[in-house]
Amino acid sequence: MTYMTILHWFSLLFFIGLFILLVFISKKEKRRNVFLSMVFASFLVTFTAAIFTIFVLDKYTKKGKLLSIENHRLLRTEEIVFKGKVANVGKFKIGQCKLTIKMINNPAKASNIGDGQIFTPSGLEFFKAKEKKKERKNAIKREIVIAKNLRPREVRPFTIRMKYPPYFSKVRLIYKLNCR
Amino acid sequence: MAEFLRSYLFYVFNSLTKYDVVAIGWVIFLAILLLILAAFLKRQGLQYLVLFLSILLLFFGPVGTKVVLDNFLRNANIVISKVKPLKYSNSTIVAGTITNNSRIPFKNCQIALLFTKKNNDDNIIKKVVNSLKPIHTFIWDMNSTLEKKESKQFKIIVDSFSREDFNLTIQPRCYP
Repeated sequence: MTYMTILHWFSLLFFIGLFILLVFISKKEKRRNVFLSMVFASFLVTFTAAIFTIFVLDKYTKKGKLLSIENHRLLRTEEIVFKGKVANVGKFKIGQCKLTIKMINNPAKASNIGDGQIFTPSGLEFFKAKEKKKERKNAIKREIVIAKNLRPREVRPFTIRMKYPPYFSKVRLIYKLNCR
Repeated sequence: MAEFLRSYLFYVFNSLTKYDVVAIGWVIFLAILLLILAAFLKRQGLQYLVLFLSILLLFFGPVGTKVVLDNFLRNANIVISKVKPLKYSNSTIVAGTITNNSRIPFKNCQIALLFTKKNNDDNIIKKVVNSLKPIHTFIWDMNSTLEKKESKQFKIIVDSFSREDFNLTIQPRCYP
């Protein structure tokens, strides 16, 4: 659920008022069936309009920005640590900010391909441990909530630790910030 | 496929510009006007017709504005120059050029690749089923801007997919 700023409440109130007005107008209709279908149609229209307005308001009021982000690896524990700052550059409070980190291993390198990857002798596969038979993932994606209740113009630091598979080399990192 | 649809919906909501917002706002306003008109009409059949029109407008208006505005705001053209499944690695390479044909610059572009089964027979139902059930989907992020009338070359490496026979459908997704 999105955080409701004062504009959200105003628009919601406006659409509730509009719905009541529409019902009031259609009240002068004496036939019951027509009246009911009018109420139904006005509910549908005002409900859609309210949801659309909330979406649009979200887009223009919740403005988060990733100020800086850097990473370093912990070789001992096979982890990667991200440190950074998130800022609220809009004029309204943000409920929560979610950061999506995607790590993509660089697969298109001829030297990466060992002998075993091209040809595995069928007899040897029987002796391999079960975990090694699994396909190695070349992309890892994680979503983390990095800040909650961010006031306007506030900057907040964050730290994230996640697993870093040892076979990754020349990794491309993609960050995506989603505030609402 | 579910992931693909989810990313498509994400694209639709995030690529909305203020022009889209104004257009959809007008459509909803028109629907409300039709509701008020229905209340002031006398004949029952006409009232039902106007109500029905208003609901129809509500559902198909936003889709229509998106289709119309796509031509002006999110029009990108992709020309594929090379599709090559690699022999010794389980990957496929897709290369080509993307051109911005719209009237505004793009902040970022994604290219969605849909690999579907190739079928040679003329069975229409089979073709439709095949196009709905792709064997592999891949979304590539360009991570750079694309100015008006600018074109850029790209080379995409699709992991864990290497087949000789497939049909490739390509979708540009550009965020203005």
